Amino acid sequence: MNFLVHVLALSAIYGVWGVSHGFLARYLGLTSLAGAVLAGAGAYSFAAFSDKGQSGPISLLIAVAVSALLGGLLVLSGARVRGHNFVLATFCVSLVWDGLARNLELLTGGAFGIPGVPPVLFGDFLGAPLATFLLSGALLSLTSFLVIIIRTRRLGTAFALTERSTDLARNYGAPFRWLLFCAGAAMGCASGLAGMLNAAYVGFVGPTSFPFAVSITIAAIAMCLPRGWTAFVIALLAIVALPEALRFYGLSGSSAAFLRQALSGVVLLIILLLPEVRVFRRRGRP
Amino acid sequence: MQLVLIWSLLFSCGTAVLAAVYVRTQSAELRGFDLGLAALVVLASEAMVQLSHFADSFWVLVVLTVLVSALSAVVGGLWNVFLLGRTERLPDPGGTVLVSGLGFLAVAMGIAGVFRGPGVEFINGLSSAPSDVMSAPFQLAFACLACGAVALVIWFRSRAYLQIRMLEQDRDFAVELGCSSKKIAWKVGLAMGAIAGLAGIAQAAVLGSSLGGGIRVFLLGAAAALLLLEFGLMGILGSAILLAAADLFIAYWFEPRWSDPALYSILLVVLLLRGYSRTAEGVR
Repeated sequence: MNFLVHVLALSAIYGVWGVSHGFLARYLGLTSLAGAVLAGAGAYSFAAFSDKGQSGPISLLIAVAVSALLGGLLVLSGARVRGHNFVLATFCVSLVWDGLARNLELLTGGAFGIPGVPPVLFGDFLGAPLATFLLSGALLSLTSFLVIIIRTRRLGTAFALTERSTDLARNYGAPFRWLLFCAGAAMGCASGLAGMLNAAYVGFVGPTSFPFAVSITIAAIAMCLPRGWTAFVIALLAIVALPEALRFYGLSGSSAAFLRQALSGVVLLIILLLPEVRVFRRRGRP
Repeated sequence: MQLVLIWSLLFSCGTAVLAAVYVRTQSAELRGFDLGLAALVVLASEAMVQLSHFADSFWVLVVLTVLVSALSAVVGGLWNVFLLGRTERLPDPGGTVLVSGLGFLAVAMGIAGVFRGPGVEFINGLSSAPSDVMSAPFQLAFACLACGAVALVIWFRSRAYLQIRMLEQDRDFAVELGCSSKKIAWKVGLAMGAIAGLAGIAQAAVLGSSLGGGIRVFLLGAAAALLLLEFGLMGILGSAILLAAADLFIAYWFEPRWSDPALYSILLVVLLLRGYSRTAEGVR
């Protein structure tokens, strides 16, 4: 039972990352490969400030602010670098982040990371897996709700205009740079919170917590969102829940991570190159 | 010591040139950056490392090198034909090509990781640390790079290369003249697959086979292809020398662990400065 809750908690955390990045893909047409950067920024900030003796809420606020600012700046660069160049730029950001997380001992603890991250809220009497599942499930519900309702609002229209053309958005009076920054900040906020939950659940954050492979997984799940919620849930179960469930049958942790990476690749290939596969067929634009 | 530095510089430079030619050619044909290069490098270097356990002399390794690069050429050809067939009619296929390549890379890295686990593995029969003036790893690497150079010379003299150049300069006009990327997809895929395989084996010989090695080769190639974009092949050569020198300078005079982040930062800065409308085709 505990193992099932663990699988669900992990799926919900990846779900938050997927929805927040899927929001970017769906409304702004930007595919980001820097998912692990935003999640890692939140987790590292939370762990570092807690380690320095700051109280939980202060560390949480600072971590959310850091990841929101980073997300905002990252997506703001989409005003200058678009299309596949944006994908390549975020790819580079992710790899630079990987190097910084390993080498900046003063901030990140280097290869040893930061142990002793404060446990998740309510973890003492609910147990860490259940508390993480409930909190990440609530966060997933909230982000999904926001992504759904934004479609019917004027903000959704402004995002759609910005996606088509920044000139078009400017002509309609939509402040596209501000919109890009806000979208990135919202994405960073949700990703950072999920990253913190992950770090608090494991009790540790280090270079192995948010490697580039996590960015690939997030991108694969996020790219399913424009294909509909069914595709999103199937991808989430196939990529995250299946390898984690196989650990119950003796698959090692590192093999599960590599299997997750391979499945992410398979999902990306199916979505992009085999659009005739019914589940992942595109359902029209927002 | 100084000779080893020169060999290292030549090795990085040669790898960057091979990778940059792959990136430029594929971006002309497929209209996007093809991360299939990184996947092919991972597959070739991993195949070489695993097959080297059956080798008992240097010459068997040379035969294996030919075999692995031929296999890489076939995989590259299949990948190119499949990718082109699926993305040719898209209005802006750049993102699809790049993310599909990422999918291919993730599958290659994931499967290799499940079977061998993380870490670096070296080719069996070669000393793991290239410390001599011209040790066996450098010999094998330079043999691969020399084969790659010969392949490039043959490629630059072929009709397919001329068609690629025409597609690169003006796609619509080239199509009017009868150039079709679909017709040359096999030739381009085979040539580029072989080049990627040779780069991967050279990488495995000197630095060992790691799952992230392919990404490094791809980004080295993308940076070399974009840095001096306006100067054609001379630009590729010049930027490869610049990048290899910068890589070596950071690795030897500062710390090796900072060379990769510095290299990726250079590409990031180039992308941000060039802006969104600039592509690897050199057309605004």
